[in-house]
Amino acid sequence: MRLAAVLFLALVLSAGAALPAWAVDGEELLRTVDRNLAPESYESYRKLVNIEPDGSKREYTLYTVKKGQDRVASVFLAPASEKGRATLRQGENMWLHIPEVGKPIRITSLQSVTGGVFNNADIMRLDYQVEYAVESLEEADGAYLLKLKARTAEVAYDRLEMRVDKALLVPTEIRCLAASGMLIKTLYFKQMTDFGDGVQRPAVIETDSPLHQGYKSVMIFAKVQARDLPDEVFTLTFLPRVESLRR
Amino acid sequence: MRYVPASALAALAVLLLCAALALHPVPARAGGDAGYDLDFEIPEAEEPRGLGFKGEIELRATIRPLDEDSLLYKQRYYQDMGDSVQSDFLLRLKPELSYALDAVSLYARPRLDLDWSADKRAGGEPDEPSEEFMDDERHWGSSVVLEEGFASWQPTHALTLEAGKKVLKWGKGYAWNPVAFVSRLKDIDDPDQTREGYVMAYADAIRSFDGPLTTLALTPVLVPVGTSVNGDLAPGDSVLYGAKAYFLLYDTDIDLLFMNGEAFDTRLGLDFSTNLSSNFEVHGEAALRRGFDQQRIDDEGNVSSRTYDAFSYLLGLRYLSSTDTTLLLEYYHNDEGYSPEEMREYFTLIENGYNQYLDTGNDRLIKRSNLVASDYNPSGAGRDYLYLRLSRPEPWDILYLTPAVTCIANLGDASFTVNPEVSYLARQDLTLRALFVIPFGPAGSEFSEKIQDAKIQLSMTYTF
Repeated sequence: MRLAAVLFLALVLSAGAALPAWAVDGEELLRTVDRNLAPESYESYRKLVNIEPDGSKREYTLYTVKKGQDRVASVFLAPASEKGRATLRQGENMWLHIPEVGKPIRITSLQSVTGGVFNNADIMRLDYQVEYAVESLEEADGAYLLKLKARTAEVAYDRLEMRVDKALLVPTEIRCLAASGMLIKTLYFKQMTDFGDGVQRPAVIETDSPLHQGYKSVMIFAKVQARDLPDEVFTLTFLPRVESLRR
Repeated sequence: MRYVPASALAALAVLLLCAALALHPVPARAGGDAGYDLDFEIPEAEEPRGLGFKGEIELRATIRPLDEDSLLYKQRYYQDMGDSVQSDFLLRLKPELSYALDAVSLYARPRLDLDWSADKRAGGEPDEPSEEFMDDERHWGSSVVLEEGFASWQPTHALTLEAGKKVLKWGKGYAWNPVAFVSRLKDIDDPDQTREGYVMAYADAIRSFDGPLTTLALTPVLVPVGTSVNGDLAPGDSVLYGAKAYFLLYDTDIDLLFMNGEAFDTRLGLDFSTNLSSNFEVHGEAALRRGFDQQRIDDEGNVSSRTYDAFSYLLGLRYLSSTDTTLLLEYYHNDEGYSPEEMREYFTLIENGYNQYLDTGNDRLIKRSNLVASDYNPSGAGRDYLYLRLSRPEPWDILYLTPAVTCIANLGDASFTVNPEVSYLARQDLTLRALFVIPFGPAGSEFSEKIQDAKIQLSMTYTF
């Protein structure tokens, strides 16, 4: 009887290993990818590096907090010329606050507060499942290939092609496409890192774009950790004080 | 042939030399095979409390070829026609100091200026209160101004109390803010310049909700007024009180505002801003000033006043094109301003006064016009304006270069200025900027009668 049970379990496991890709739920996989990249509510530090064709670089350091599915706030810590600039995203609403100069202004996902290849949608990214629906899921070369379609026309990229590591269930590469099918940029996820408290994700995202030949931008993550903050933090009124969250 | 002072040329040469040195390419740091450095240094990440310091140094040269035929030139220099080109050089230090400890923080931003002017009379009135030095010098001047300095207490994330000197940034407009009831006017040629605040106490209380109303925030404000503090806001000693209620409702920012006080005209205001699409934003402001007292002068020099409720408003849009060009367009109705006919009367007075002075040596009419010059002469003293700005970062793949052109038009008299500018981030801590202001318009119009034929401003700003 025990032998029969073992044989049955072995049969089930071997069948599971050979499951066709359609048996994996694409939406569930995308949710898992989102949670593996970060807790739903978290804080983190990031360094953005814009690298020019001649090798020269511009670096920016940001402190970022996110809450729930659609709220993100960031503040620049360096360089001195940018320090104190803060951005807020609530769904598709985005604002930029420049200290000393004026009140927060609305900005768009296609602009970039840092220049370089990353745009505001990349820098203030929401969970993928919030902005994209799964169109198809394939399995190729030991990875899942998710084809995603923007849920609304307001989303920065019309389609994403996301290659997901089957073992780690995190992206290794995302191709960002316009509605015409034109490739806008490619994101490469690298340096799998354990940030503690169960947060393991790639610490580096590189990007290049055929629209910016020779240029490269890099986003490096540090101190990614779960943190739950009140909703009031993610408001225009609080935006000039985002850096106080670090105290 | 216009005469340019040798000292001005020398200072300009120094500025250009500094700019050339700044543009000298800085070799990139070696970054390994990946092309970047994975060493992650986070400023003050481990200990964000304590003292913070940053700042900027600006070197600015301004050259103004003067229009000797303009009426404002004649008004100012009727007794002593000066150089046909004026130049000013400014060295400005603006440090920012902060100190944070738990829920309490302190912030100060003083401004220290050292300037050389071909004609110190040509400069605007200094901000108050400020400490002036070198008053007796003919060309040199210096001043120290505390632009902002305040203490904050944040007992919870939803409540902040602040007291001190602060710039209250009310309104959604870029060039004008009719609802900025207790703020100094923006420099219309350069609205992004920092300004000096007023002494006040205020609170921010925030509540968030689920549903169409996402955010509600209340900002009550108290502004003391006296001879030694905020004296230009109202006569006598009193306390102004006001409030702003902010709503994020159906993805639209909405503010309701008011300000009142003894000897202060009651102000009521509304502003809004929303995105019609991801690359198209619209905004607006409306302000009512009860019992506004406007000083007028006729072409014979008789000053009168009229009291009325002034209703000013602004409508604007910001559009980002597929080529990354940003278009900003604003229409402003300034109900506290002067109609084209009233401006013409003022200009006629100056012209008559100048002719009278030439004929008889009597400058009574010119002096009469000077009584109201601070009301009539500033840019934006008219009624209806249009502001158009186009900017595009990094055109033709030239990194860190941002050209822009701005047109400011007085719709009442068809005069306007065209302001091309270009800024270049030579290094991450060094910005170079050139701004040109070129006025156009028929005789007797606001921008054609300005003192200068043009303004050329070159600046270099180093941040640390």
